[in-house]
Amino acid sequence: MPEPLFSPSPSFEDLIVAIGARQDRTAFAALFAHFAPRVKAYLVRTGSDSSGADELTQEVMLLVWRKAERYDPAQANAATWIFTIARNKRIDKFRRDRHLDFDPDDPTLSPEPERLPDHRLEAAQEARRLSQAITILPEEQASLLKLAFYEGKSHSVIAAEVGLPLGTVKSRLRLALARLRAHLGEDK
Amino acid sequence: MTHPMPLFPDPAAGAPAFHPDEEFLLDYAAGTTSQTETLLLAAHMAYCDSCRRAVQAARNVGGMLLSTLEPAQLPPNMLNRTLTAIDSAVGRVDTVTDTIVPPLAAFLAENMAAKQWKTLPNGFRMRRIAGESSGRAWLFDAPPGMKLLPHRHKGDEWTVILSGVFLDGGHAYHPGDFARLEDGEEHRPKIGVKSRCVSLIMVRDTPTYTTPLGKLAAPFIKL
Repeated sequence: MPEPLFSPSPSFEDLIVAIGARQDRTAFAALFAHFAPRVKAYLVRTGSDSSGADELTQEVMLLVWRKAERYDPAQANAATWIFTIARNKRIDKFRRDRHLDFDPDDPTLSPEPERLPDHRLEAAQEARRLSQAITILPEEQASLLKLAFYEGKSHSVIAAEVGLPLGTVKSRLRLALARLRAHLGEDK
Repeated sequence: MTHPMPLFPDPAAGAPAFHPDEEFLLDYAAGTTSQTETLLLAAHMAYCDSCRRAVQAARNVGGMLLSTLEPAQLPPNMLNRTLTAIDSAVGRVDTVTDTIVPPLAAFLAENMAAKQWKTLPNGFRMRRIAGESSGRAWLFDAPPGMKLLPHRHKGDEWTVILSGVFLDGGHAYHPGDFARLEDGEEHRPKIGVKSRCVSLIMVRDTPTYTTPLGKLAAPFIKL
């Protein structure tokens, strides 16, 4: 598909900004239509039953609404931002003891992150490049990334379940990450 | 003797020289680390821009994979239900119940100030601050120049230095540094001579002491 010169519809990032700036319900509905079914799919794959996943999905989308004001498109593209909220919600749900969760991005504990020019890539553009990048990964690497993110398995659990030596899993994951970074032009 | 919490993160610390392996950062981004692992990785990342960026990059992979998931079927009225929930929450103070929580700094300061520590006659003290079957986290507060008894771990051992200098295996670890000892390796760490060293340690299992003195002392310093 050729890329349009002018984007005919707002990007997902624009939608989140609109929600944050003026509680735009139309923008929220559009964002919801795309992401809510995928957030549910993610929650089901990582261990929630269907009705539990519905409930969690609603909570995730509620958080999207409430946190939209603090969304910074220069920091994360829409999918990454929503993925992180869903991931945190899932962890919350399965941990009995909440007080040990930490947010390393919490500004009260982090030194100011260095903003390199490379990291100011427009978020939507970066997301597009990344989705191309995943298709160039060899299947043996892409499948491990999917186990990590889709099935919520740590690399040591993956090694045990797939029956590969831990070292092989580690090196494949490292290769995959290095390739993705190279594709995004972060390894210069 | 009072033990003030060293500044966290120590503003005088440079960029850490020792980092967790990348696959642990990937686990962290995917949300598959245990609570104790999360605690140690977060403590390191409070110092480490480059590991924070690596986690951000790995989160991008998560976002991208989220976009490629086959959408699941939602109940038909779900959007309206969510909008209703939004309306009923309008006007209330921000009560975002995301995982954002007592910041790490406050958690560590609280533990440093706590009264219950195991203290040895040489001034070494330790306090268990988190744990689950897959790993337990301790705060170690060791006097200058102390030599730890030689011991071996079952499962890997992670250490994040919070203040002072920790010497192990020919390396000097400083605040923010992340040291990982592999399963079964024997070591005898030492503390730098200039100041006390506070560190965060995760062990998977009770270490085995490898000298007669260590075997004698083991019941008193049980992890």
